[in-house]
Amino acid sequence: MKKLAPYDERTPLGNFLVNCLTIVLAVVWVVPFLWMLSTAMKTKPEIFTTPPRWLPETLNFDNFILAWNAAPFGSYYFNSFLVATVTTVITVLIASMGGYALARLPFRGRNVMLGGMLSTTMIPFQVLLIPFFILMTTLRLVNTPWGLVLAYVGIFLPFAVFMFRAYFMDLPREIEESARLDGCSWFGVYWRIALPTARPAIAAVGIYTFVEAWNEFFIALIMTSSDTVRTLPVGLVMFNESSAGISWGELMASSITATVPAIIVFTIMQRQIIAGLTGGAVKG
Amino acid sequence: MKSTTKYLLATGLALLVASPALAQQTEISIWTRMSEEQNKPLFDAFEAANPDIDLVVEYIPGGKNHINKLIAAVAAGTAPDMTVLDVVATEAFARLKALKPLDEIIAGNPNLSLDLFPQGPLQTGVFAETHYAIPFGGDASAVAYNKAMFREVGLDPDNPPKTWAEFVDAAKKLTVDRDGDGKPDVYGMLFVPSIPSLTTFMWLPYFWMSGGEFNDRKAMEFTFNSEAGVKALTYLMDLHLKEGVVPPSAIGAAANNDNQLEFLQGRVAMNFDGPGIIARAARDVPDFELGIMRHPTPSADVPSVSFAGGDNLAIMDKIPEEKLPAAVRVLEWLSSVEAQRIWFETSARLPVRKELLDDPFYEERPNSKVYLESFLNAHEPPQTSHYVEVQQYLRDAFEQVAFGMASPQDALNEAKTRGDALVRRTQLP
Amino acid sequence: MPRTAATTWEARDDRKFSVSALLDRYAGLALATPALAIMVLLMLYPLLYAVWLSFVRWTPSDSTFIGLENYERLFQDRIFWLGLGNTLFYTVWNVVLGTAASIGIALLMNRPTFLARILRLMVFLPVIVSSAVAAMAWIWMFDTEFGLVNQVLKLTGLVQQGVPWLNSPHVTKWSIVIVNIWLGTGLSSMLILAALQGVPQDLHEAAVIDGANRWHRLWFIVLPYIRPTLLVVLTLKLIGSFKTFDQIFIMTGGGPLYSSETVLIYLYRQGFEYFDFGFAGAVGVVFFVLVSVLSVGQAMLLRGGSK
Repeated sequence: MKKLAPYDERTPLGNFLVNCLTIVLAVVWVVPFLWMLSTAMKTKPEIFTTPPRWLPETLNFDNFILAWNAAPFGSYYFNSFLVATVTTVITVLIASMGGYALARLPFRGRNVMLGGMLSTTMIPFQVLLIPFFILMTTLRLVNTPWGLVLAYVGIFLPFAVFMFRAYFMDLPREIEESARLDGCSWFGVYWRIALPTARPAIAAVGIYTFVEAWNEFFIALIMTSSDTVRTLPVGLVMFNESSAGISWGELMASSITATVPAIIVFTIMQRQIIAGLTGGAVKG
Repeated sequence: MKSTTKYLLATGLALLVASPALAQQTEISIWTRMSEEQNKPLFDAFEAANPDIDLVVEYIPGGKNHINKLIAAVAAGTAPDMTVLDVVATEAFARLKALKPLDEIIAGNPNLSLDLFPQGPLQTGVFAETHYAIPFGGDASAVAYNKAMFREVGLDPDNPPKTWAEFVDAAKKLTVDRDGDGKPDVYGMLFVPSIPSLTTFMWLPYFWMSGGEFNDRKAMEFTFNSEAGVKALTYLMDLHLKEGVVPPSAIGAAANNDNQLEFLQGRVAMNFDGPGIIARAARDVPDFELGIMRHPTPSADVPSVSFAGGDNLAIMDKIPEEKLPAAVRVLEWLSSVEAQRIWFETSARLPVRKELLDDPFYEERPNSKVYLESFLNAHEPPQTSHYVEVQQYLRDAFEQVAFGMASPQDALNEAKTRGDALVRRTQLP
Repeated sequence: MPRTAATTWEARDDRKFSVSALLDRYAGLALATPALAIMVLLMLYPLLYAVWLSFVRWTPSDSTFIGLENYERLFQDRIFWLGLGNTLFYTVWNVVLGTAASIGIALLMNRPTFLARILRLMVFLPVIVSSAVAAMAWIWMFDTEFGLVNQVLKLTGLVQQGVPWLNSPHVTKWSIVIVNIWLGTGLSSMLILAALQGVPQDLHEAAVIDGANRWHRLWFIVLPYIRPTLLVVLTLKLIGSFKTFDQIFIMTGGGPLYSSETVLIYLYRQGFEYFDFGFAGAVGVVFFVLVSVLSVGQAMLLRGGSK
């Protein structure tokens, strides 16, 4: 990170105030997470105290175990993982193909497709949810992982195509040109040259899609009705509603376990994600 | 022969012998309205007693979730073989032609004879003179109260209020400002006007005791905005608006508030509840002194009435023909005396077999007995195809009054108007 | 004709009618088809279906054409207008407060200090959390009696009694705005940060030489320079506000008294609780028109000013 420019430096007092503000905001933003963690490790009586205690008496992991057993979280985890992974793979594949075509290959209707995609990003999918539900019903895909994957691919595709298109448009053409001169087919160029070079875009789109699919709630709510297909967010909310009275400790514990994969993925790949997202969006 | 070959042959023979038994296991899928925790003992017992039927249970707890999911499944053609059904849902599903009529099945079957079941619960499974569901478990409402708190303020814990006037009086005494800061720290009564199913469930007994009728099916209109409706609504809301015996945080609280917890932690002295409170109190606060009282009545000469809710059992219409005998077996077993006994001992439901209604189990448990009495003296639930929507309209009315935005009469009038519009649109009462 | 990149690009094979040649010539179409097919199947078709539904009374067994009846009923429903009003309320506040917050936080993040890096991480965390999880955590935070927010407020003496964050028709709206900002600032501030870092040094230096102070620089140089990004952020927030569903559904279900009801919650209830698909279709169509008009309008307004 570059050093602060001379005209951006502040008086010591100014510095201090700005730092204070930064700390306050950082704390405010992270407090809900800390509170979740704290609640997850408390016993029932400790949760309902005034004034609030931050540190429980003992680091109690009972809630995590209780929660895991109280509802089929293993199944939820598996389903979320399955759906998110398949969605990501399919989306990256199809979007990279489409993005490449839009970036490089003039074909009839290209502009129409571009315009169409732009407008689809504006449609809130909830509008389409009922016809979509009816469609899935007719195709017998309701309450199946495939139905959910299809829905997710549909939602994440426009954005993903945009990202790939922006990325491909920026690629220098020389390598592709020479490959073409050598007699390579377009598909070959795409598969052997463009795609491997597009690793940052693949990472960004892939991770974004995975995390969004992992966290998605509304469509999963509509499309799943049995525990064998349910994903984590819906499972969590159902768990919340099921027991006689909410068990905050268990709920917070299971929420944390549900979020851990996304946090891990994000922490490892943060630079790629942010670079991919900000680069594509600003140019697009 | 080589030993491996012998082994394979033996296994093969064994499988051949065993296969008829294995082959005969029929799989029946059934959806229930309760959580796994509450239902498991019963279904486990079923599996033990019926090894030839593999019961695949789907647990769908949480208020209206079950009805929503079932309607969606029926529409999608993915309905299960059988289902537990809310007593108020028979009409809606019968109209959808989703349930198998049971008259023929019942006729030849001594285990499902109609006079094994009390009249009230039995009627809830009937639509258009046909039986679509048989009783499974009963539910009733009453008022749970904290005996210790009663004693503290000088009320007799074994003699709870019987009339509305006595009740208000007791609630006021129980609303106490302990630390002298001008605000009450404990409240007399908990009443949540914001959850459609719960609020309607709570209000209906008071409505019926005031002499009200929910709807007039022939005239295709709702009649809950009558004087009785206003009287009941006013009584309940005045607990909050006039007498101040309800905690302010209960007003406007959506499903995310844990009412039972407020009660169990001694922050309110009384609470509307079903039989589930007994098990929960025993589990979470073992030294809690729990008392159960029947709903107080408008005046001494009116008998106390409760809401007869609960579950029925139904076979779905699209069940494959070959599974029908197994499904009937499920019906028989789940409604049998032995199963019902397991059921009411492990869950919050009340038995629906006449033989069990004076079981010694209840003599030993005075609190459960009050629920049983409430169940036996309950008014049958409202009969309408639009229960889901009307509950919402009523909830809106309650909230309007609770927040002081409308008078009870106006609020109920609006709810009736909306209900009637729905009836006209769909041409269904 | 000189061999330009374009002609090198396109002409490949003289065997014009072989499979590989055809595939190659129509490569663009071929590569784009899967994406196109999915979008037609999953976006265009449902949209048209929704339009058809809106003119019909739908029951599981049949659907009867009823013309504009659904729309009539929709526009006469007081609750719909409430929902619409709330949706606009959230949109305005999300966009205004959210963008301002994002800019402010981005400025704070745009420093080489350790603290700034911490801020970046903290602010971005909510983005990777499911809105369902966030909603439930905030229900607990907002609990009237034991929630952290009220406990802190009471401890610092700012209030006497717990604020009914989710129980009051007046306060609940703002609780939702708070949660929306908590969830949404992460992405926007990152975008703005990236843009801020792209502002060339010389612009700053020139302004300083001309005597501009920090605020002048911000207002007259930096913000106009990152205008494209600001437009993106505004659009994201506008559309995002309309699409808000998860938090509201889980935290309040639209209550109390429909004070947190939005058009989408209304749509959900009509479609998936009352199963009145025809009516819900009409709601969807109206909603779609609304969003489109607003997005296009906003785009035109903002782009028009950039001349």
